Formats: sequence, structure tokens, C-alpha cells
Amino acid sequence: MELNAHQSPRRLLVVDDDHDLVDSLCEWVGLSSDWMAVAAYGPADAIAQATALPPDAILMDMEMHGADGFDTAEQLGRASGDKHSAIFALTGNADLREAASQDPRFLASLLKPADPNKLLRLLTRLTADH
Amino acid sequence: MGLSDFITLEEAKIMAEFEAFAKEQLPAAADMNVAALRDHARQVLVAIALDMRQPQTDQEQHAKSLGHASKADSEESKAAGELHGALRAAAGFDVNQTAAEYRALRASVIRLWIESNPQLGRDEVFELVRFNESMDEALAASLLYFAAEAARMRNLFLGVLSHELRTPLSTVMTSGHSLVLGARLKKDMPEAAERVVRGGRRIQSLLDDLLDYVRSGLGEGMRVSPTSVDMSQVCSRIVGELRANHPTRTIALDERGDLICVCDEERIAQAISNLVSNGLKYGASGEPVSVRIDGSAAAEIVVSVQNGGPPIAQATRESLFEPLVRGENAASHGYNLGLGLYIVREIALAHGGTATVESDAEAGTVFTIRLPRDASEASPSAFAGLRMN
Repeated sequence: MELNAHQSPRRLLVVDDDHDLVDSLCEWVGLSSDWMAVAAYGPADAIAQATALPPDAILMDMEMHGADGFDTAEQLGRASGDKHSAIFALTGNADLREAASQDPRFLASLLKPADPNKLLRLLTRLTADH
Repeated sequence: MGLSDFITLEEAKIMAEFEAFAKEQLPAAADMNVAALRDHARQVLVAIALDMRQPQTDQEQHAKSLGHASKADSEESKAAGELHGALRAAAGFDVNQTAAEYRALRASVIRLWIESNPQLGRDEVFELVRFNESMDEALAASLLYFAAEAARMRNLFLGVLSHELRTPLSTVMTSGHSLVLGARLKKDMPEAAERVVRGGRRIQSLLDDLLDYVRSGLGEGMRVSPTSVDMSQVCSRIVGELRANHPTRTIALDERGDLICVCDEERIAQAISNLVSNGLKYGASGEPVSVRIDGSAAAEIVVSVQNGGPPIAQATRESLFEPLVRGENAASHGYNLGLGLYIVREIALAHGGTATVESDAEAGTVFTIRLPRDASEASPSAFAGLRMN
């Protein structure tokens, strides 16, 4: 289904405590899709941004300082309120990826280094489903 | 007096003799709390004396001498050995050192017993045999557990390594894809290119640390190629680089005495850089990190790196130089294999020096490296000769 031309672009919140990775992912998504990527450099930043303007989807690191990805997902879910953001887990830890793939709060889980084209396919599918 | 009675009666004397041996022969024991070292050895000894008092038939004895111990009979010494092995692996002992403790214990017991002029009849000889069998059982159990614990730690390390490599690799791949697409769109993307370079550099630095760890773990220690070095220049260079990378932090440098020495310049620079980075990472962010090099003594150069912040607990201090140990708030600082301080100690040891840490609420945390002024005899590098260093 085509997105309504008058609608604002879909927003993806990219959450990781590694700045370079967040910037890389945001740049890639902005360059290769019609999604708008928003950077969040840690869990607190992510919750603040999601509260201010709930995103359509969240790509989230599972091991950040101060919070694990499961707790952050829970809080982000609440912060987004009625708008259900789709959450994708992104992690360098194979065990956490496995755990996230069993968790209904995550729509998909990716192991770093995630194939950038696979990320695009996930976003495209999300656009098509809605 | 029979041997098992002798062990029970003279336990204190045996332990004193064992301690003297352990401190002299076991480098890893030097870092270890003496009470801990003694307690585990005493547990092994008590368990063995207990085993020796269990009645034993000729058949059992024969089976045991062939390594087929009956279960109930050897449980005590085995359990003590298992605990010992796991603890020694965690404390950074190598397999030789772990086995050497049993040699020390055995030698101490037998020497002191013979010194006491026991009547050596048939029973005493059998008791001696039983003592040796119990020792062997404890040793075998210890080594088995040592190997299992070492394998567990290695797996843990490989997990951390893989995880730490995956994040910069992810940056390299994602920005790389963007650059390919950008080129097609005739778009200049200097920041993406810089991220690729930074990610690659990060991966390289992790792999360099890994290589140092693997090489030093081969039992030969780290290899160094000493030349004449001006420590003042080395420190200025390292501190200058770190100041540029951490513009918001203060790094003080204080020099005194004669700072010309013979050491491996690159390795010493690496050690000092690791210590200062460590201070910046774990010290209070509002306080300076102070580097002091002191060459006022004739025979040695002392480098110390101080940072402010809450003191490090004694138990944590003891294991800080072990590989794979990470500070309590390590997760908040991203990449860290827990090898930085381990490499510092290996570099100091390879020069015939030492690396130590002190920490209290008043003075903060101070890491100190002491190096002989002339380390040219220290451990000539075979790799340097092959131009592989």
C-alpha cells in the first residue's frame, strides 16, 4: 500500500550507546529509504525522544550502560503510549539475540553486524503491513 | 609417630614451611592474599590426613595405586583438590604453578616427618604410600577443575571479544554501504568515511590486545626489545596524544631525576598509555589524572599514574591485573576486553620490573610501574630478531 503523500515520513528511532554506529545507521536509513531516522545515544535519550514524539519503529541495542534492552523496551512501550512502536533488537551478543527472538515485544532481532539491506527489508515490510 | 598423626599435630609447622616455598617459587602467589593461599593448602592437607585414617583393604590399596580410587575413600581429598583447582584458575595461576603447590606440600610434609625421626616399620611405609596416593588424587582433581575453569574463562573471553568486535564492524559495514550508495548518487560523505576509519582502528586495537594476550599466555611472557630511551620524551608524547583525545580532561605530568634508561620504548609507551586511559575511564571525571616519572634513584625508574574518585575495594585490587577482569563500571565505557592492566603488568614483568596498585579515599587510586634502569638483559625478543615484533 502506498503511503499517503500528505502524511509525514515514518520515523525510526535508532538507540545505541555507540555514537558512530547510531550515526552510521541513521545515515544509511536516511539515504536508502523514505524513513526518517532519529538518533538516540542511550536509553535515557531514547525514552525522552519516544515520549516527545513516539516513533513508528525502534531499532535498539540490547546492552547499553545503565539499562538492558528488555527493560528499555518495556519503558519505550509505555513512553510511546497508544501508538505501538515496532521494536527491532540489535545486539552483538548471540545469546541476547536468541532471547530477544523469543520475546513477543520484539518484532525481529538482528545480530551485529546487521546486513544494512536486511534492515531496509524489515522497514519496507513494516510499511507494507500498515 | 604415624604420618597422619604427625600431619595433624604439626599442621602449623608444615604450613609455615609450605608458605615459604610457595612465596619463593610461585610468582602468581605473590599477588595473592597469603591467608587465602594458606587456607586452601591447609584444607587439602586436612582432607588428606582424614583420607589416610580411613581403613583400607589390600585390594583397595592396589586399585588406588593404579588410579582407581573407591568413591567414599577418596572423597575428602578429591573435594579439597577440586576447590583448590577452581580457585587457582580464578586467581591467575598457570597449570605448573597449581601443580607445584602439591609438590611443595608433599615435600614439606615428608621432610619434616623424616626430621622427626619416625620409627620406619611396615605400617609407616604403608602410611607413606597412602599419603602419596591421597596427594595424587587431590592433585588430579585439582588439575581437572583447573582445566574446566580455564576453559570456562576462555569461552567467556571469546564471547566478550566477539561482542566487542561486532559493534565497530557494524559501523564499518553500514557506513561502507552508505559510501557505495553515496558514490552512485555523486554524494560526498566524509563523515561516513571517517567512521569507517575509526571503526577499523578500533578493531585493530582490539586484535592487537588479543595478540599480546595470546603471546604472553604461551608461558614465555611478553617479549621486549630494549634500547636506550629518554623516558621524558616518551611520557610527553603519550600525554600529548591523550590530551588531544580528551580535551575536557586535565592530565598533569611531573618529571624528576635522570630519565634516561634502557627499555622497550613502544612497550613502555603502551603501558603508560593504558594506565592513563584507565585513569581517565575510571577516575572521577572532574579530577585530573597525574602522571609522575621519577628517575632520582640510580637503579630504577618509577612511573606512577594517579586518579581521583572512590577507592577500589581490596578484593577487586587483587584481581585487577588478571586478564579478562573489568572494572565495576566498565559497561558504561563501551569497548573493553579487560586486557589493559594485564598488558601493563606483562610489560613491567618482561622488563624485570613490577606493576602495583594502591587505592584509598584520600589519595585516590595510584598505579605504579617500577622498571630497572637498564632492562637490556631482561628478555631479548626472538620476535624482534625475526622482524615480527
